[in-house]
Amino acid sequence: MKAPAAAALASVSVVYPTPSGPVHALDDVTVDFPEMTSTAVVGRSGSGKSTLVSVLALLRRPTAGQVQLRSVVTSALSSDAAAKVRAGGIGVVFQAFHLENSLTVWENVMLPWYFQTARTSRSLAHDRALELLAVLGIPELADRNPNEVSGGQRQRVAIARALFAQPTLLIADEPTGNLDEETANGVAETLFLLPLTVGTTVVVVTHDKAIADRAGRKISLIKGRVSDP
Amino acid sequence: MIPRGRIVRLAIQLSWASKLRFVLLTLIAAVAMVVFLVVTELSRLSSEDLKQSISAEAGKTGTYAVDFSSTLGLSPNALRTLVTGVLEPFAPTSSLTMVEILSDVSFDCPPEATLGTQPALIVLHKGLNETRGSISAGTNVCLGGQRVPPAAITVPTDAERLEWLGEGPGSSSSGLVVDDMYQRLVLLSDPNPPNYRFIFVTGRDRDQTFEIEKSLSVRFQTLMKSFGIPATEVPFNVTRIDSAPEIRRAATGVDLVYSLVAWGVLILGALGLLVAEMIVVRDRSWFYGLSRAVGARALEIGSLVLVDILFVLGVGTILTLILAAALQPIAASFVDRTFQIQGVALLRASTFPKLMLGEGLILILAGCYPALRAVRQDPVDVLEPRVL
Repeated sequence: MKAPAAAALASVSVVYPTPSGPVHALDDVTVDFPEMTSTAVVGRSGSGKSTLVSVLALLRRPTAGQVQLRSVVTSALSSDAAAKVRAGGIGVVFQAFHLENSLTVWENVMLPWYFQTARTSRSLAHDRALELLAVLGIPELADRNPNEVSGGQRQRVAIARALFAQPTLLIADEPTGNLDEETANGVAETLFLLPLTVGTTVVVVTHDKAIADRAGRKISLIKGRVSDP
Repeated sequence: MIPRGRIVRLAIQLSWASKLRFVLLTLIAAVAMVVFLVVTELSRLSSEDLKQSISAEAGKTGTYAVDFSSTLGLSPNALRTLVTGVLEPFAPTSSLTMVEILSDVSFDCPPEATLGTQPALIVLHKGLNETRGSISAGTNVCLGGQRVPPAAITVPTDAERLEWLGEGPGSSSSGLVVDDMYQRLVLLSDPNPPNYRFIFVTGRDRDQTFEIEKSLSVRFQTLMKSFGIPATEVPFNVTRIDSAPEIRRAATGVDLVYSLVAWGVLILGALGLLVAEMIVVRDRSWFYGLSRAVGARALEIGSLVLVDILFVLGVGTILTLILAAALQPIAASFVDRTFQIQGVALLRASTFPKLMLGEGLILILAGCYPALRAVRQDPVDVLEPRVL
């Protein structure tokens, strides 16, 4: 029996108007991401990988088609409603780690707490941040500032932040793009273990074949179309 | 609903992270507010002086007199009640004064001729109490052939003479105020019937003589009919008695200039904060985008920017109060030496509502547009610039 999908795209197209005519970043993409699995999305630059990330993360509305998170159709949600869904169910990791240097590592990890409606206390949020840092193997960095830690460690901090709200779906866009090979392997291992360790569905967008091979499933994007679902 | 304290805490943490920027912005806000306080105080002092001088020389703005040559059979009290009712929509009843005037009253006990014959003024209802001068304690005063104590007679102030008799300061002194206890004696002293004058202040620059006349005519119509007085021959006369509108306009102009300077400084301060906040929003655009990505809604992003400005304004206000208190003696001595004006008080309770209004203006000018920019920022553009 097929596992239920944590996220699914049905005939999704994204078209950008440009001075030289419309560009089809995603063209009639239909794909689903089963729960507690890891998927690598590969493709060359300009193949639509990052657009796929922004659509899956509800940061961009598709021009056509439907995006479903579990059983919820999200295509028609307002930006605030989409933010609410993100706050509870989606974690995103970016290539540029996007950590605030004026906050400590644990404060960066608990950034989602500031925007959550749940009345969790700050000390509970702090404990959760420390717990995630421990799961990711960097508990000793909690009180440092992000500019005092290495690139690989920063990306782990970013992953911890993405996991803070216990998302059902974690999307990582070129998470190893700024890292050396050894560090990249460590980060990839961490990411692809998440379905087993925390039960999150992981979607990793990468152009690194070696990283992609470590995922449970691999799909390829060519000129905005899924070539090998 | 997101607990507001979290957003406030995060905004303050971010604001405090760049301390130099925060200190400089707070200084801009505080200096603008201190200048605002100084100019507002200067404006208050100079316009107060000017208004007092104008009031003494030319009466308060919108001062009217209604003269009754006949009471139409009413007692002075009944007349006052009637007139007060009519004038209520034009002026506060607290400003109304009613004076009984007998034009030729001899105040001397024969054969002396110290006070001579002059108008006697009996105040039947007084809006504001003023301290009048007294006559010499040794003066023999007689009214209607009877001796009265000199303390019963007082000398009207300049403003009262202007309002009650139409005489400006510097004119030959005439008219004495008689205590209302001696009203009957005064009435015996003058064969002519008394006139009644009502004085009131509308405070408005616009001339309302016609409207007041019309209202009085309507109210007195029935009484006049019963006395057989034709509607065209009204027993009263309404006169506007304040003067020098050009000087008043000039004084208003001075006020306006001060206000422009004070508010101009605040607006300049607000523009300074606006420029700084635009830079902050540009630098933090990735953070706002990231916050959107982790679940922040538009309101929370806007709040982060507005709290940043509010934090600067809040600390700026405290700094303003400290600076104003510290500068108080210097400002007082400077204003005294330069403008010969005493009584400077930078921290005056009446100034705080204006200051709060000014801070609201700064918040709107410096906060709204950056907040809107931050809210409208597409998170994809700042998080993944190479989206295509």
